[in-house]
Amino acid sequence: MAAGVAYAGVKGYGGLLWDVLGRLSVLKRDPVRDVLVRQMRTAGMATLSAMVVRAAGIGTLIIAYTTYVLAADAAFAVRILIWAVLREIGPLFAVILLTVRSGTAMAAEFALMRERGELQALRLSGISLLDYIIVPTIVAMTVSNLAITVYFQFLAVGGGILVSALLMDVSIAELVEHFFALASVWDLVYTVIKSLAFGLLVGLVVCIHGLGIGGRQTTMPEAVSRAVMQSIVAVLTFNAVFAYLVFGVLFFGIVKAPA
Amino acid sequence: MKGTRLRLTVPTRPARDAVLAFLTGLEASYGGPFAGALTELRDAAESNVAIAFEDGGLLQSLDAWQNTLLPVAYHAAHEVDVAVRRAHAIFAALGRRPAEFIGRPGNSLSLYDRRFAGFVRAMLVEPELLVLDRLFEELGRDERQGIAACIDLFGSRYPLRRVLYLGLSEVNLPEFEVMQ
Repeated sequence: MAAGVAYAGVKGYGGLLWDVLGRLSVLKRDPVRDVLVRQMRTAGMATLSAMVVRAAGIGTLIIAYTTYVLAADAAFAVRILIWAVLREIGPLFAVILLTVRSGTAMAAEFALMRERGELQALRLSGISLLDYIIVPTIVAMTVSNLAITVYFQFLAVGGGILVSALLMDVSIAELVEHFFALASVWDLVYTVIKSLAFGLLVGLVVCIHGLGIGGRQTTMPEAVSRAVMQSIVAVLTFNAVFAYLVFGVLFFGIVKAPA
Repeated sequence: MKGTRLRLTVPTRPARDAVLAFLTGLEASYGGPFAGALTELRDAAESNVAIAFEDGGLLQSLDAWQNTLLPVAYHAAHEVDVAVRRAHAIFAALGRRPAEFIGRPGNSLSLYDRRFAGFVRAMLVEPELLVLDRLFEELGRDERQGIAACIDLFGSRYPLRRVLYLGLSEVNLPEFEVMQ
């Protein structure tokens, strides 16, 4: 039963994603582009402003922890910073902020539009919800999440390196050199794919629950709550599956792929 | 017949929703009363149907002026400049100024102004069939006269196009031909 429900859910998300990919050309239309800009402002700017202190704090915390508790040297501290911030914490923290700050706002806005009859008025005016709302929202969430992740990583790595230079007897230049020596293009590709996928997933979940697609006609608080919970579940599931596919490990190495 | 003005009173809101969905082509079939007449109207309009909604049907995320231009901008981006000029002309003909609607979200307008903006929005589409969704209900006499002036303007600009008034009660109905 549960497997059937999960399959129907995945099929629903897959179908919507397919529809969105087939309608990306509508972004050329002025009103749709206006919605895209507005959603990027909601998704991106609202989240960016909230993360400066948090991002720098996390980078600092990681360095302080590895330095004092693990008695790490500069190279090891930077390696931990790359592993934690670039690969795992950065994308995850960014998407959680995106979900909590912008995903909730969008799900609430869509649910209110549904309750006020605005969605029906759009449909009856011959304006497709897919074109006018869903496509720009999902694109905005996807692109914004990548921007937020990069911004978060920059602040966290920058903050971490700055604090390392203060805590350890190493110069900032040396730490930066360690960073570029240890970080690979693959780290960048990995984080870009992950953050794009995270943003896409949150966009899909927010649209499905906010707009009540597929008969999910819920009240506004219920739509927001479901959008947040399912976004987080979808993101964590994707994160685990992606890590397993790429590195052959699950749950930080507790489960390993068969040789 | 072209240029006719009809009125139809539906018993409930779901019945009204079903009629609107059928006329706009969202629903392929309609099983309610007057199905034959509504099918004829829909076929004659060839999907070029616009609705002036009871509450204006305005999006809160746009101001009232942007709302009036939205369907034209969405469907025919190259005609937006023309639509803007036509909107100015419609406002002027009805004694209103766009400045009253620019920068104002729909929920800050009176019911009459919301309906007015919704009417202009529907008119800008130049529909073959204009559906008026309870536009006279819950308005005072002067405001009903204002709506009647809007309908007359549509009739004078597009004398061969049809108008259907949908009501939910028998009170304050326009003097249109009753749908048979």
